[in-house]
Amino acid sequence: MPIIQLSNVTKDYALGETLVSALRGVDFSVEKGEFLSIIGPSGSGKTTLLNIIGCIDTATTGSVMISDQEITKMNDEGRTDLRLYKIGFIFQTFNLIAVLNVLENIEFPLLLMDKLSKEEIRKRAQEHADAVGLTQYTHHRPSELSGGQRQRVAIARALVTNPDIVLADEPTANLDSKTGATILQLMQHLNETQKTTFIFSTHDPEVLQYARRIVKIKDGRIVES
Amino acid sequence: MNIVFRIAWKNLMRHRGKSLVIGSILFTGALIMTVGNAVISGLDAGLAQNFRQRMTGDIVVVSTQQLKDNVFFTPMGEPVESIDQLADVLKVVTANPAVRHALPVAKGVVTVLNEDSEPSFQMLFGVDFDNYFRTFPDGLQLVEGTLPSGNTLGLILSTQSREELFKFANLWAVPVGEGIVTRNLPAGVTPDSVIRKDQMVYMGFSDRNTSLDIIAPVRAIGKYAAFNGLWGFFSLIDIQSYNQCMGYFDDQEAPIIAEKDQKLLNHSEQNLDEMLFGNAETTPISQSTTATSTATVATTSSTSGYNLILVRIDPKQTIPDTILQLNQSFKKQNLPAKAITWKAALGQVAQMASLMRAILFGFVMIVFIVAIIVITNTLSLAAMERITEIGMMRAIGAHRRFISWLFITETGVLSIVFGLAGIGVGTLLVMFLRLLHIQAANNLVELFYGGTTFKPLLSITDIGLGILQLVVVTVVSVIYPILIARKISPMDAISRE
Ligand SMILES: Nc1ncnc2c1ncn2[C@@H]1O[C@H](COP(=O)(O)OP(=O)(O)O)[C@@H](O)[C@H]1O
Ligand SMILES: [Mg+2]
Repeated sequence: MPIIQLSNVTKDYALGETLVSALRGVDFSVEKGEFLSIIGPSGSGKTTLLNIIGCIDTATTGSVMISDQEITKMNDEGRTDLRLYKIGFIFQTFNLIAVLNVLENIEFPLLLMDKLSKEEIRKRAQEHADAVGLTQYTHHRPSELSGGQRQRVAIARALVTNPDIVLADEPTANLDSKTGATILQLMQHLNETQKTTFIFSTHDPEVLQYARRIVKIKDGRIVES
Repeated sequence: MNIVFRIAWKNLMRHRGKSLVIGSILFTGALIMTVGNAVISGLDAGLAQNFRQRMTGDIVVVSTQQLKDNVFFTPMGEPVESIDQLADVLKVVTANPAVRHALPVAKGVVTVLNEDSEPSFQMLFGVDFDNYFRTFPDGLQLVEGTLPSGNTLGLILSTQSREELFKFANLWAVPVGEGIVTRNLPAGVTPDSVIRKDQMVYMGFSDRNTSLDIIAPVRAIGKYAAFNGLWGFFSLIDIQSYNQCMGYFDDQEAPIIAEKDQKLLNHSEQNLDEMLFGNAETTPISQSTTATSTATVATTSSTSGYNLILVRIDPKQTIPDTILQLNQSFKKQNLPAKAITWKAALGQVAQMASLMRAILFGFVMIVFIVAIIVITNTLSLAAMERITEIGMMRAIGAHRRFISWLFITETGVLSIVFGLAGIGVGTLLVMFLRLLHIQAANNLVELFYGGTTFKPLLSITDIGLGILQLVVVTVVSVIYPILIARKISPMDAISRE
């Protein structure tokens, strides 16, 4: 039973008078524990696809099942719950909360869940900060960090809730190749140890060596899987 | 939720400028509203104290024949209908457990006959002096002379009436046997430039053909504790002289009031004779006659000039309840009397005060609405500036309610800190304003102050009201910004980067 199943998903954006078809009928599924890369040129629809899987955007037509739940029929509340409890999202542009320090940013989803004790939350956040190599930076503000460090905060934040699925949109695009490699190795390590399903997009062929399965996308269609 | 508060607090600190803008609006708004509430309360309390406790009482009983409730300042000096069966009516009034004092008053206009000039007019309250001072112990301040009591006949002339007479006829009234007090003369007027006068010659001014001229000795010059410019139109005269002047007599040529009063009247006639013929210094005036010489029979059933009963009630009782009870009792006993509120009896004067209150209240409401609009606007802008941040929180899994709480908390914190500070400073300002003892410059300002001095009043209720207004401002201001913020989707965070 795949953890993610897309059937004939389309996505149109209204761009002034004209409609832009970002996805033109995508069918694909992902099994639990996969480490998968979506590759395609810029503008091919990678971000759109990840946003739809991540419950951040909605499909125009088609069906999207995540853990057997049809998300296209869900309301805002249900999709927010999925984002919070099931999915970790790593954005291309990090998207940290500026007023919170590194540790607080990592704690944020756990605090939203409001399930663990304060001490437990702090402990988990600290562990994840250590895991991404930010032990010395836990009290820094995002603005005081480099791009790579910020991306690591975003990864720690995406993983701290132990999500079933981690989505990463070109996680290395804004990083130098060395930092990018470290981050991909980290993700790979987590996939192997925690059996977390990883999907990341990239247009950088060098990154592909880390993927165990590659899906190619072009003009909003999957061309090779 | 702790995280909401933490993020809210950090946001407030990061956007200090904006926080300060909203904070100062909340502060100023709360301050103005606190002072405004206090001025309104001071106005209410002042009116209650000055009118109800010193002049009109809480309730006024009038005749059912009296069509207009506006009985004090009647247009064109229109007479007020006398109360028939006064003794029975009074019995009903005093029997009511809520009633503390009941003062029958005969209100009317008299012609003042002046020796060397045209006649003028005066408004009189015919009263039993003792009862008057029991009912309104601090209503009148003695300026000159001695306050009459018991069966003393004569007049307490108000400073206002004295000044009018002076302007009209260059006459300066002083109490019998007393000289002119120079410092009480209008500025620039010397004692030898005025004509001293210690008694008034009044001719009844009524619609019946039965009035007489009387001589009323001035016993005292009095000033009302508040609203002297307004209430000072009324001078006080003993009821016997008043009734004689207005021609209220029965067949026996004696006014039928109450037995007690009748006795006093007999006595008063003697006094009047004495006054007219025994006092060598006063020249009897040709028009004036003694009460005994030309008394005529009253043509209506009224045998006394009493046309108002001013009633003061137990402060713990309410005016409407007591009015209802009194009117029920009057109806039950078939008495031709009705009870009305002091405000109704004051007519336009009370309406002016109500208007002042409404203007003040309107002013407070404007501050209230402006505060809401400005805060709503600033918060909405803040919401729009924070689209990325909010969208991102939503993308990570923050629910819409979290975003709502974030806005409520941020505004709430500002509201508590700055709004309560505004209420606090407002309270201090009110206390300070009271200490200044600002005096009213004219009658209108006096109505606005509710008395001679500006005495804004802050009760616990007013402070409670201020806090309530603050809560309403906060809640109402935050609604629209929240609606904007709740519409922000995770996509807004992403597509903007
Ligand atoms: N919010 C949007 N509004 C209009 N068009 C969009 C929007 N997002 C993406 N597109 C268009 O959809 C197509 C796919 O974009 P995207 O998914 O971002 O591609 P990729 O991530 O592969 O570069 C592009 O042609 C892009 O211009
Ligand atoms: Mg993209």
